[in-house]
Amino acid sequence: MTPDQWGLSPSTPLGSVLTRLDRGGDEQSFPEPTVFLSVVVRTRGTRRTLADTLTCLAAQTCDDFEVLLFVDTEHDDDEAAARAQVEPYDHVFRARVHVRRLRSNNRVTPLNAAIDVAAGRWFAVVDDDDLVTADWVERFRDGATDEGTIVRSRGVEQHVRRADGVSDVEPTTGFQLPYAATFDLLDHMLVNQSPIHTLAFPTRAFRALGIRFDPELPVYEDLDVILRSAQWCGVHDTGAITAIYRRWDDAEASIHAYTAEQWAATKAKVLDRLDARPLLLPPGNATRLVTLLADVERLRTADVALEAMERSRVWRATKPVRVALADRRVRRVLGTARRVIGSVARRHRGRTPDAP
Amino acid sequence: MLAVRIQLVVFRNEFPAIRRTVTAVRACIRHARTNAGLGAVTVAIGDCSPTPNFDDQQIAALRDELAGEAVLTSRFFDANLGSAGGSNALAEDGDEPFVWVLNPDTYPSPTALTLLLEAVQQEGVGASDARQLPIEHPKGYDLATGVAGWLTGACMLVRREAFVAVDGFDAAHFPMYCDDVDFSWRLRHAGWTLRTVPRATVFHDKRPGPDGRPFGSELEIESGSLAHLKLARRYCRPDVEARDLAAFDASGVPALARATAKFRRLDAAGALPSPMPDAAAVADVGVIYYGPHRFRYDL
Repeated sequence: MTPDQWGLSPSTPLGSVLTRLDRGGDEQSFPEPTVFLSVVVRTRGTRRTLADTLTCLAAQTCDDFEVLLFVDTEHDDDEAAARAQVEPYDHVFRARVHVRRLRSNNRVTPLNAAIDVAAGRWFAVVDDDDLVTADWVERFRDGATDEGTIVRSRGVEQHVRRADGVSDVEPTTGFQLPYAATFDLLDHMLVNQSPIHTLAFPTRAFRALGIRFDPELPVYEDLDVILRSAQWCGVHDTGAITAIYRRWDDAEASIHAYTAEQWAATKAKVLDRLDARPLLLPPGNATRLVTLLADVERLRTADVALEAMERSRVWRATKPVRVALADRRVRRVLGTARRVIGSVARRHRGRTPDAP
Repeated sequence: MLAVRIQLVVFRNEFPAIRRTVTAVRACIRHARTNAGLGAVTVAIGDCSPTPNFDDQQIAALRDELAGEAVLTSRFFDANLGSAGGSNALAEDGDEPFVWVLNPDTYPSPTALTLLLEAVQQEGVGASDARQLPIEHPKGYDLATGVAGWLTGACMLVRREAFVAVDGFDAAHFPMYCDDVDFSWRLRHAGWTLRTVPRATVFHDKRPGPDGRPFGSELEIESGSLAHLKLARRYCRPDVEARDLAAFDASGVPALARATAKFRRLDAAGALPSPMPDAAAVADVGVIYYGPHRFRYDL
């Protein structure tokens, strides 16, 4: 129905949503789903870690998936290298892997191409260095009970570095668990808590709603889609840890390819896009927002009171006493406290897989 | 031509999982045939389950899967020999110069056998093992050469000559846990070199628990701890034995309490491994992961 049929101008919040829905998503024809999951693997074809990813997929306990391996490269040799990595796998797995060549040099193009050609009712994305457990597909499938819902498992993070001896990649830590157990849309606006291979997206809903990854975003393309699609589709948490995100300590990661300013500007762009439309929050968030706003108000009141006290005659008059008391030992303690708080804050900011 | 015996000891494993492993093994054989001069292969399944784990139809399906690539044999032990006893029994059934010990909950990557064969044929190398996915084992090895203090039994290729020289796994004292550590140290004591091949990978179906640590069952904790104390006895570390007995007793963890109680019962009965004082130099019982580790999973 159009906004007019509801007695709404297209400029009203609901009217704008109805206008968008009335326009609909893509009108092109798509393949009928034949499997539960399309696994989109994006690679340039040259990374040896691709074999680790493929082995994890070949070892899945649930066979109801296809693999769309997008080799995005200008070089025929790279495509050949990727195909050569697939070729020796067992015939059952190999039959499920579809290698496709792209020449986009853009991290997003394979993902949007996959939405068009996926034969899976849901699709998931893994990069060519990601690892998953044997029940990765199975947990998604068991959690995909509601058509159109995003299914989310949980990830752990392992720091690694490039090795050049008998190995190609060397872990430097065990598993860390920086990601929230359950999905929260507001929390994700602050910090991404969901590495992309912890999510299975509903293919048909993405097509119908016209949700696509933004090729203009150099980073945060995953967070952008998560924030937009989660509003409409909702997220079901499986609760299982099934994904291992390898955080590269050296130059392998996208984190090192962009400056902090570029990361911040892109994040602002993602939020601008959210600001441009009505925001649909899951049930329970009205109370949550009120609580958050009340907390902010309390902090503001406390801040005002603190400022007033610092401006007061008594406070200024007693300054010499405070200076005398603040000996070097006290300053050292305060300095330590500041450093601890700073490091906690920095760690908090750095929780997203890609953030600086 | 290189002949290899591939051994899977099963205990109540589900058929789809075994079929997946066998399918992967077939791909490994095909790759090694082209790239490593692999000749005749026997895939030997040893069944430790209380009743036969697979029916004739399922065995026939596995045989079909390997048709033209390997001979499949299946043996019901009618007893739980453990992975160590099962591996020994299966090895005795053949005479191939190389024995690939493979867990039934694994998926070896297609190049694994080729790479393990290349390593184990180097002079003085008695056995080689693969890097595990998705939870990499943190045990140490030389990052430049792959030379390792011990190898994991989940995916280990052994030269039969070395296997026989040390009488295989010690199934009496290490039926299931640390059998690979003990076997590795006895191989090294006998003069063999061990080699980890990280580019050979094997998916081992291990999963993180809810706290993000690699999950360990009660049985794993109990049996692993008991085996640890036995290693301390065999490799002459009374200080480690006393320290860890006390630590396990004080822990309040039931699985550890059961391990210490059983250890003391075996000690009283004279049923612990005999000390090997001259092998102590190749062992490193004192630290977690048995020797230097590259990283730790503790959170």
